[in-house]
Amino acid sequence: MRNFLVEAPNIDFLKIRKIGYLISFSLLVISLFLFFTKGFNLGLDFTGGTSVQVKFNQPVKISDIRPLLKEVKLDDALIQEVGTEKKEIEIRVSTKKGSSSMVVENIKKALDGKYKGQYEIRKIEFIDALVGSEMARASIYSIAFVFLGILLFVGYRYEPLFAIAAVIPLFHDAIITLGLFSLIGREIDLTVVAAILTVLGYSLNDTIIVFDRIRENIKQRGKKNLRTIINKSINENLGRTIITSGTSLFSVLALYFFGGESLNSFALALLIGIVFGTYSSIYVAAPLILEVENLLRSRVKKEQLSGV
Amino acid sequence: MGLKVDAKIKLLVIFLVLVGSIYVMMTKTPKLGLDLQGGISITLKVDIDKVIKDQYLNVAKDIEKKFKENNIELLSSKLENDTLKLILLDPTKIDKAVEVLKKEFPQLVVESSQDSITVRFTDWELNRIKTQTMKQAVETLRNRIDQFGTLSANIAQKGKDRILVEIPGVIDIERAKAIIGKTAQLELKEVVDSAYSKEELLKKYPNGIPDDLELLEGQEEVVNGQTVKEWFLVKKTPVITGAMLKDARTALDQGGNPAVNFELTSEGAEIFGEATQKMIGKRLAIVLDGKVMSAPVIRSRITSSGQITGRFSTEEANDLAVILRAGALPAPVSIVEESVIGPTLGKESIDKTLMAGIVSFTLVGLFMIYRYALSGFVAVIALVFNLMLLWVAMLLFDITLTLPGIAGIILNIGMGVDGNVVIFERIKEELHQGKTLRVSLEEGFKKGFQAIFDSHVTVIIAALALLEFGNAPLKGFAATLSIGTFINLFTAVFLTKMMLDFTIGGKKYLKYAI
Repeated sequence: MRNFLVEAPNIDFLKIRKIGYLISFSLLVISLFLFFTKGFNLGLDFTGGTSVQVKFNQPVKISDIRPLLKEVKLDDALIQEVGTEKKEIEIRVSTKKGSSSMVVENIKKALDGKYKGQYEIRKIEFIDALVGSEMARASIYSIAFVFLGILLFVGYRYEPLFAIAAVIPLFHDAIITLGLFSLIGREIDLTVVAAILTVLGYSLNDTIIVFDRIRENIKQRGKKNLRTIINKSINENLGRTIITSGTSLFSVLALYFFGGESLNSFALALLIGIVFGTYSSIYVAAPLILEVENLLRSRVKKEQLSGV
Repeated sequence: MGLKVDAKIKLLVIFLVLVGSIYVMMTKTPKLGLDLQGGISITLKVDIDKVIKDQYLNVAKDIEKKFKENNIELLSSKLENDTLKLILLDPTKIDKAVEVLKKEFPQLVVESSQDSITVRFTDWELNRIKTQTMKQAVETLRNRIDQFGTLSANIAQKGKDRILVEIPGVIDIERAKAIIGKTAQLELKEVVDSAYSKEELLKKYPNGIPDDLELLEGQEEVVNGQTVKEWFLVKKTPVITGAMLKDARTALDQGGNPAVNFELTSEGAEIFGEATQKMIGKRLAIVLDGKVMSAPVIRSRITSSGQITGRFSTEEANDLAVILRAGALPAPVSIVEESVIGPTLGKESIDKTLMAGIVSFTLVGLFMIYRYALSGFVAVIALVFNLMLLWVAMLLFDITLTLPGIAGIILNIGMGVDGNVVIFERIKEELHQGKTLRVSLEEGFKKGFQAIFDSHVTVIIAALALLEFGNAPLKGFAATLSIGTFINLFTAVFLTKMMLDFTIGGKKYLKYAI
């Protein structure tokens, strides 16, 4: 392990790239399918409403709480467990049910019947539906901003060819992360969007290190055999890619397991993002350079032919 | 030993940075976000459209006056989606009217057709109204909260029409909301008619309520054991507004219940005296935020003071007096975002993330030392430096530490060694090719730097996008992420290189070097 992968292996990544494409493509299709059929469990940040987090002295069951809320006409409230101790729950009510004060009043009234003095309200959040939709829009804008920024930066520092190959995998990472969130029904809030933005930056980080090596190797050897150069570059960087993803994963796992409930979704999004980001920089980003190049070359050829 | 001069300078720089950092850490305390210390955060939306509408109504009055001076008779003025439509009694005078408008009202854009004139505020004027309103609203809120003394709050404009109010610590949220959210627009209006039900009142006006009057509801009261509510038809134009208020204090009304006495400015007293003289025998509605609090009959000329009665508790009367003293908000506000975080949750969050930080640091540190031996150890020291500088930067720039912000720091532990890994792997590669340690070291740093620089920029791009959007806690994350990444460039490359130059000198350490 001390010198694991110091000597570059000789795996023909480009030969098996079609398998990579197939896996990625299937995952993308499944994710998009989930978007349209299952949709997302959007958090308060985007839907608006009032959320009240209550911690009890002893473990409680959601099925115990629901009838109590029914008495104060909060039948359609969303009740979720928070944390692993079964002592804390979150109750979410849409804005149609009135102001946050009224909602909190009603919840208190409902809980006092059975649990008076045995609970503590830990957090109240209210977001106007209007603000929620604004935040959703702002999230989309900021993700678009990151894509554009990265496209311009990589295009400027490297080649337009590289920029295209760098950005496509980012869509891939973002869509698959969201797809998994849809699949497991995990709530998507602002911190998840923040995690996705971070992953975009991070995933590209991986890709760029490989691209940098490709650029270096092209300089040394010329563009003669792009296929060999790309393969060599991926192999030479394999150890580094795995190690940096590994150290990042250490941190994210620590956050996931020890960071507390509020950061759990955030850590999960990072976790998924880093795993797929690493995968995509090896199996998608670098091979794409070859594809884009081939595409361009065949177009040039066609133009030349038609010109004759 | 005989260190080179260059190395001595570098060492001195590091030493100074270290001393400076320790000084900053000892003298400054971090600002904790509400999500970490508990407290309430409220975002208010200011109804600027209402202000603009009011301004149009005001300008309409001025226009009518100026027209009169110039012998132009205005038949009607009407607000039609963001423009004021003026119709003259004599359409042949349109040209003259336009001339008057252009001369007297530079803040308006005037357009005329054959039978009417439309005016609207210039963009500059609209902008002025908006900025002014927001500034005034922030000032008023600050004033109100200051008067309560006990609350230390942060009040700031956020975006075009929002105001963020953050109050740390445990407080009575309902009361805070009442203090912050009340417009507190006090108006004294002449009562034209009243009845104990809306229908009864409206029946008297089969053709609809006249343009200059408005229907307002009163407070619920108990008369002979029954709850009743009086409805009022009052003149739209107030006799006096809260702007002419000099002071407001709590007092007791005739029945011994809490009430609020107010006193008018001398200008207000003059106007009030004149108006009440004419209104003897009529009722005067005391309107607070569009609701009639009471409507006493004027018995004699009143000049400087009045009383607001209602079914207040002592505390409510107190709060109302304070709010009136602090002045009305220039526009109605509504709460669009609110979060209250209990102090125990905040404390727990800190404990848990600290734990995550320690675990993350231990795992990453052990791994680095295992894989890169002495160099790995150096990287860990660089990481400590990185975290220390990040902390110092947060203190120096007064950046509020939030829960996602701490997450950003933890992430920085794992992502931060990335630079070192890129370089060290490169060194190992060069060594593997048979180059000497010294040469491999130089090559590794030289070749690795470009990639590290480029890859760090992309993380900063993502962090910048985060700074642009998102709520306060997320901005905290963006701050730690971007500053941390930036500092990384320094610690992972410059600092590590320097420390390695010092340590990997002698041949005897060679096999532990990396």
